[in-house]
Amino acid sequence: MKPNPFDYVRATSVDHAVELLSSAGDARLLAGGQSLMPVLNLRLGAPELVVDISRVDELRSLKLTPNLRIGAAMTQTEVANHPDVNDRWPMLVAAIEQIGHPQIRNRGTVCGSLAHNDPQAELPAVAVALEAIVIARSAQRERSVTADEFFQGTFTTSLEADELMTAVEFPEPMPGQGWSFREFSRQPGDFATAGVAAVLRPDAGSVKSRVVVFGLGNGPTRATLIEDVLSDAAGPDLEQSVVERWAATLDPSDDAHTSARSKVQHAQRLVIEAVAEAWGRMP
Amino acid sequence: MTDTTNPTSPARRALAPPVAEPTARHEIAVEINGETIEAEVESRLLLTDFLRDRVRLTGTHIGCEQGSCGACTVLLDDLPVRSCLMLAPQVDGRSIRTVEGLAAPDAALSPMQQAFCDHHGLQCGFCTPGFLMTLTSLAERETPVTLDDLDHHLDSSFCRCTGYVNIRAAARHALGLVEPQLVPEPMQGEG
Repeated sequence: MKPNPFDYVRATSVDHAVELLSSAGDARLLAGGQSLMPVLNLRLGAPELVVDISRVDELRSLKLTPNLRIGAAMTQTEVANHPDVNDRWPMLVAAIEQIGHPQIRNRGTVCGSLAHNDPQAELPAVAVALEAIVIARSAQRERSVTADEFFQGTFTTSLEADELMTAVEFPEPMPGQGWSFREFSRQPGDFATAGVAAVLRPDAGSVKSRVVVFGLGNGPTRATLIEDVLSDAAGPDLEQSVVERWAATLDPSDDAHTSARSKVQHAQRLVIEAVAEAWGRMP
Repeated sequence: MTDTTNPTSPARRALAPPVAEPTARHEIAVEINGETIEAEVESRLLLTDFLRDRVRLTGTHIGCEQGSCGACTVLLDDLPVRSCLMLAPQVDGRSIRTVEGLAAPDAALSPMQQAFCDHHGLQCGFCTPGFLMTLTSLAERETPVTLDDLDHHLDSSFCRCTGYVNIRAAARHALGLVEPQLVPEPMQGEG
């Protein structure tokens, strides 16, 4: 399969990119292309204009402020190989290592994965668990959006058609934070059948947590029932009745490989394991 | 003649206009296996098709065209990438290495190619260029390579002959990796 015809322009700056974005009826941004190119090759999408932002200098930056600010053209490999990222945001690195294969991560970008919001993708769940902030620019304005507000369901985000996601910012880790990232996939490199990103930290005698599941249909979803139970839990062991009550709220669908029932079972096991692991990593 | 009285016959309809070809073409200059190639390319031309149809380097194979199979893997600035997931205009000013660039000019095989030869690391050969490029990048890596790294990289290409055992053996030898020996448990005496 070959893409439909389109025009291609390599943007030279963020201003240039957002100007191009609003210049055509249907323009698409190309960063790493590891999601967009299959869509074009399979003709699931046929934009008039492809705007390549992969070589915009302003977007090729990784800043520690001490928050971690990742520009839209930074590849997953570049982010995961950064020593400070590995030291302070180990969950981000653990999740990146689960994405596709080395060849995919050498092109695929962190921001691109967030903007695409594939319901089975790892990084949206990590962004919600770590309370990341998305920075978006249009020709008129720049705005920040919390990860909670950014992801709006399958392949949908709060980005407007004329907006470019310029960066994502991960806050500095909180003291005493424990984390876990776990997923099940049918073979290495596949998208997850189900996965969990969990962050726990002590907070004035209770436990604050974010337990985010993905792969079950609607993109990253917080397991608020589990989070509530954890807030005054004395240990990492979740009661089976609690996990089952939470699992009853999940509503995945069957697909060619995995039944909905099996997905829910994977999710239950992964949540139990992830909470135990994150708890164990709290000092 | 179409029977217009037959309600099941297809209605005559105006043809859609021909698909508009893009006006945008791009002059690119790219280094391929050490040689600078200049060409005018269409916006939507995939890097794979550019290499095969325009540069006539047909060693890079097309499998799935969606990034899954790994047959089209080339080195972009020395890093392995899927050439089916890149557009030709994107590689302007960059450096590409394909399987044709692995052997020395006097046609001696590269160490990885020689290892594939010695260990029967190919059967039909369709996946071989992709494996060779991925494993060559691993062999050139500065940080030490472990057996886990190797297995992780082998995951990234499909061999439909299922010849992974020999591919792995070839790569292991070329990378100088020794398989840990399984030491049998001592026999437990009865009673």
